[in-house]
Amino acid sequence: MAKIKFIEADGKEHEVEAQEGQSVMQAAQNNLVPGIVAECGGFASCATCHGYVDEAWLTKLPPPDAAEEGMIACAFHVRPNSRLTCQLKVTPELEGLVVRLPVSQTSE
Amino acid sequence: MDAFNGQKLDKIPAHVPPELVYEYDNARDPRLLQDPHARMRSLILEAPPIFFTPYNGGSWVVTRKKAIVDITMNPEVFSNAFISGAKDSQQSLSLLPISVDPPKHTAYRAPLNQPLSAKSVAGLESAIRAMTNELIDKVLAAGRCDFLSDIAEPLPVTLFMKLAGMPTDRLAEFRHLATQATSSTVDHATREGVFKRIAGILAEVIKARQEKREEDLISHLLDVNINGQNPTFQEMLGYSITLFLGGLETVVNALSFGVLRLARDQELQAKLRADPSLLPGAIEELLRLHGIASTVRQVTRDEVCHGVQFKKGDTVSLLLPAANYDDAAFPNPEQFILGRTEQHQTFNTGPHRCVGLNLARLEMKVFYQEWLKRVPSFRLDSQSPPRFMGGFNLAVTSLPLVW
Repeated sequence: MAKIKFIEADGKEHEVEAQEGQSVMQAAQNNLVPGIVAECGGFASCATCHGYVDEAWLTKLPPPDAAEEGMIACAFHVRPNSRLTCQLKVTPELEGLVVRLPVSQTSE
Repeated sequence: MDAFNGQKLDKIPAHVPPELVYEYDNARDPRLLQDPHARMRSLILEAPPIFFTPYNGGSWVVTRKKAIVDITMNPEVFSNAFISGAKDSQQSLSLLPISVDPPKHTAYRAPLNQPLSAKSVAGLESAIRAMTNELIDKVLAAGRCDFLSDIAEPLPVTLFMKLAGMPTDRLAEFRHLATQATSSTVDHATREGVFKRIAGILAEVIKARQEKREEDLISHLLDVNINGQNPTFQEMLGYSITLFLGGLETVVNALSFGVLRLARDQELQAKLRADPSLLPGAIEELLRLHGIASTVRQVTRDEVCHGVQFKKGDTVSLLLPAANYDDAAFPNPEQFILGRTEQHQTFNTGPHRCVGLNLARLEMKVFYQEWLKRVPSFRLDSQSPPRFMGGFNLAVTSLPLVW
């Protein structure tokens, strides 16, 4: 169990209780957080669960593997702190994680 | 069981309960050939959620979205791995990435994700628009066309063949081969011959690109790194055939069924013509109402799923177009409703979600923008009704329009 906060591009906040073992993307979807499309269902194949992780958290998360890095390059509105939320597994250490969402998952 | 066998079983397997038997021939069902998607809806209303048909070599058929998603996400038991185009004495040909299961699937699929991402295909928009307008130029003055052969075939096929680096002057030949490859009425030997011909054509393209790279998908794939090495020639063939079938068959039918719907629904046609900003949402709903492809799995061990006993070796057909008419997933499924949020099954789900979906959506958006702008109110030619074909893909074979 870990509380994770999602902040939409317009500033609206959603705090959810994520289950250990699920992905951050699944936590968002299960709690109906808007702004995460997750077209491929969580297999790092579509770049539509894109989110920004605060710099302080970047070093605490396992770094992206080659597949995730490749797909981040295909996301829209990429920043240095971009991650695919489907590749972030929820653990108790993620308590307090903040994920900001891009203005759009599917267009410039 | 052999999912590609067009024969009807004389005897139902012992483990299949009689109440789950329902006769449905995915190629020749009369109601399917009259209106394919009305038949998808009637399967939801009339047949058990998971039923066994003696047709097509004997197969389970799954029509509900929840069950389809569960089976798709359980490749250990419901495997894709048996799907192959042809087997001969030397080696078997695997269609990549669709005929392998995770985790191998992930490695094979990754090289396709980037060139077919929404961002990458966006660069094709002006080419799609130009091509659409060229095709409209050819038919506009006549006041009529067969939408399938005049627009739906040449547009996505020419574009996809260019993208993949295939020779565009052989369009009609390729379309014929693609149609035969996805038919379930051709016999086993004929299908093997078809796949060998497809493989032969694509082998020529691959060899040409091995000699000299171009700006195309086959060239890109030759240089990718899969688990530390470049694809083998056989793997390149596997990729190329999948791209061939996906690119040549699916979008053609998605466009045709969508235009058929608009031809029949003058109110919707007028609404979209008046407000093109509705198109992205309308395209999703047209895609939901007119799913194309189904997928097949083979059972790897005895398993009970959604209350049904599956046995090792059983064939399971996941009827994606029917899932789009599942009331539990889509309230009022027969109605065209803008703004639905539930994900439709037309592009499949999970790891095998259609790799070309971004290109398909872009093609459809640009096509409708131009077609609705330039072609006045169109309707079906009352003298020549549309014609359809079943099989693993639902297909339009003729669509005469007048305006």
